Amino acid sequence: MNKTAKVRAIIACFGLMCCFTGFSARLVYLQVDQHEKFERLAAEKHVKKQPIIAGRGEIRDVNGELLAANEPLNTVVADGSVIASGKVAPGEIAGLLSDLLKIPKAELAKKLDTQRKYVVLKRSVTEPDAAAINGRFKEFQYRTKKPVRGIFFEPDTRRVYPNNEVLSHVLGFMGQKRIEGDGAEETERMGVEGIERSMDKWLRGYDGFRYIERDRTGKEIVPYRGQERTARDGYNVRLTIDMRLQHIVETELDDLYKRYRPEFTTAIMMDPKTGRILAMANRPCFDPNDLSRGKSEISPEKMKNCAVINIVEPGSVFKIVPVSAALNDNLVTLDTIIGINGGRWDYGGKILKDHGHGDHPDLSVFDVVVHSSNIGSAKLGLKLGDQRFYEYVRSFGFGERTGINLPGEVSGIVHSPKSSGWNKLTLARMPMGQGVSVTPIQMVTAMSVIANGGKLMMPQIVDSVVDNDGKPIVNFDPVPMRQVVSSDAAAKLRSALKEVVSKRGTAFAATIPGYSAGGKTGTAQIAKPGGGGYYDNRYVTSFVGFFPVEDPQVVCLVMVDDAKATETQNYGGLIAGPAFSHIGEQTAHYLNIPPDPQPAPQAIAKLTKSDR
Amino acid sequence: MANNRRRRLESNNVPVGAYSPWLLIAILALLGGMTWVYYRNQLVRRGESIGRMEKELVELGRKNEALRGRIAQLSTYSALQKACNEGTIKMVKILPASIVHVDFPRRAGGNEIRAVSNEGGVANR
Repeated sequence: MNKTAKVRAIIACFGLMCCFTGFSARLVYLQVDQHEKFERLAAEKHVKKQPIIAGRGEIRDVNGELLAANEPLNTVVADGSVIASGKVAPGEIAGLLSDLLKIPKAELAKKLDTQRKYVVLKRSVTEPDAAAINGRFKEFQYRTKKPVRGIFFEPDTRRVYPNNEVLSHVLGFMGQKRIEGDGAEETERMGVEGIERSMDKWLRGYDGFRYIERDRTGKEIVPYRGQERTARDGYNVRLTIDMRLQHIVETELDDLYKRYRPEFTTAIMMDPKTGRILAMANRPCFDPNDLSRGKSEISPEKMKNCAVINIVEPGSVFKIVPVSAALNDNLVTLDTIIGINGGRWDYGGKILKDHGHGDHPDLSVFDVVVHSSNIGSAKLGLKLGDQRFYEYVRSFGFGERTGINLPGEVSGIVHSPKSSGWNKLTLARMPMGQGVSVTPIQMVTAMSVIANGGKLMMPQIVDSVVDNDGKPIVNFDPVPMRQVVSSDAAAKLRSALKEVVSKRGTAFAATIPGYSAGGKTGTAQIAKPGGGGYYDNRYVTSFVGFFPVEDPQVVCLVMVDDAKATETQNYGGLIAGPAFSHIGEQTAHYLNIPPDPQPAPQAIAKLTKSDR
Repeated sequence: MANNRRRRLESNNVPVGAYSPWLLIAILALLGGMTWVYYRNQLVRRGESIGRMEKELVELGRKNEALRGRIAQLSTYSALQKACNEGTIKMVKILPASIVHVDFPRRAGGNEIRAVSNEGGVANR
């Protein structure tokens, strides 16, 4: 190689070296120095955090019948910019969608004729409708060889309650809460009432997410998936409610509500041994599906679960407290005679009356229960004394929440002897169910104490929480609260309560053909608001009973607030009693409870004013 | 003749023997690169089919959920009562003679043999 060639080669090498050094330097600058910046820019453009929405758990009854589920829906969204650049005109797309979305064609075409990238055409489009839209697009493409672009479906869900009004107060409903998330305002669905609310933390599950990378057409590049957290669907909640029994109760309440047009009526059925609620219903009621569909004109009164929220003066049903307490403290036996002074007794300057007992100057404790004597109950209260009687009232669970797994439960009102609400007349009034306010659930729980041998059980409405495979996550076992009275005292009172449901008692109409039943009627005058005494002809009529008496399997309360009935008919034994009888008969057959060897006679309702 | 000799003298000989290792490396690198591209492509295609299947699975799940809700709605007590009243379905009385009472222990677990009855089926054959 000559000298000139050598120089040329050196210059060429140097040039190339400079050139590649420049490239390398630039590469190092971009890849190392500017790495984070470009990585961020690329991620912003192609990487997206995709949420994975967890499904809400289902609610089922004790037999697995579906009570609340999720209905998949779609939100139809249009991307105006894609439509504008496509081959199909907005008017043509509007023509395809108009009847399926039930939106006028002109209005739809106007919505589609835009450059906006996100236009909601319609929410809550069902799966069959979404499939019909897709089918129509395919058919259009096949016919015209022009693909419809720019219409998308965003998945959504709606809570559905297959039984509509049935069990509506127990199940509750869903609502939306606004939350701040990632700088933007989002809405979160949550249970607002009933089991939907009280079991919300189990039902809701956890949403997941996944970082995905998209190509230039917006399609996900699956192998480039990044960090991922799987969603956990909500757990399923299994109730103690048996829908067969629930239907029996609801049918009877419907009948009562139509016949007597009360302010409200409630029925609760409980297993006294475990405290499990077998049925719970109220009238008036509502259809939670209406709320899911966005109808909001349902009055709050209809949505109130009266069984745990309403407080009423219980009336004679409360007499089980002083009688069982006096029996438990051995102050009396069932044969102890209580003087009822011919049905008029002056105590503390006030006359206490026992209607229709003028011909019975004295009654045994047994007959105090059977005839529902006010004076007899008051005298038993006096035997117990202020403090002891108050302790028993509280021990039966009055004045405190029962702990049932339903929201909004109230504790009722029980004044203590040390409070200003307790005066010298209280001890004569409270034993007959006046001057005390209780909830229906407290009443049925208290009667369960007598039915199960003296134990106060916490009412349970949730049986278990299970996962999608049916594996139990949490079991809600029976919770005994305390022994209120001895099993002996409870058994004695049961024998008296059995006589209540007989021709001698106040609740002959509550007789269950073929079965022995016991219970107590209640007919309490409704107090005027603001403490202005009582209405003359407005009553809360109730009956709380159990059957069979020897081994009670079921306790059932029927309560009717302000029935529009005649004065001679407005009694617990005549209004709530027959309803108890109908419910009891069907329940006994359904639960396959063996009939008593000597069936009770058919009920013939004939009561007098004294039977209140 | 002289021209040919001169051309041979002035031309650069290619030392094939010396280049062959580099040639082999280049071919292997090329093959490696092509294989990498092929498998990368396969990965993307497989990913696409996984994505499609995931989408189908989600759609099937949604359809299943929608149908489950619909079945539950149609089989509630009140819906069945309504259908019965309308005559869409009817109740068939089960005669006492058709009921077979089988006295068997409480529900067997696992794969244990369970007592069954099949009156009118196997028994009448």
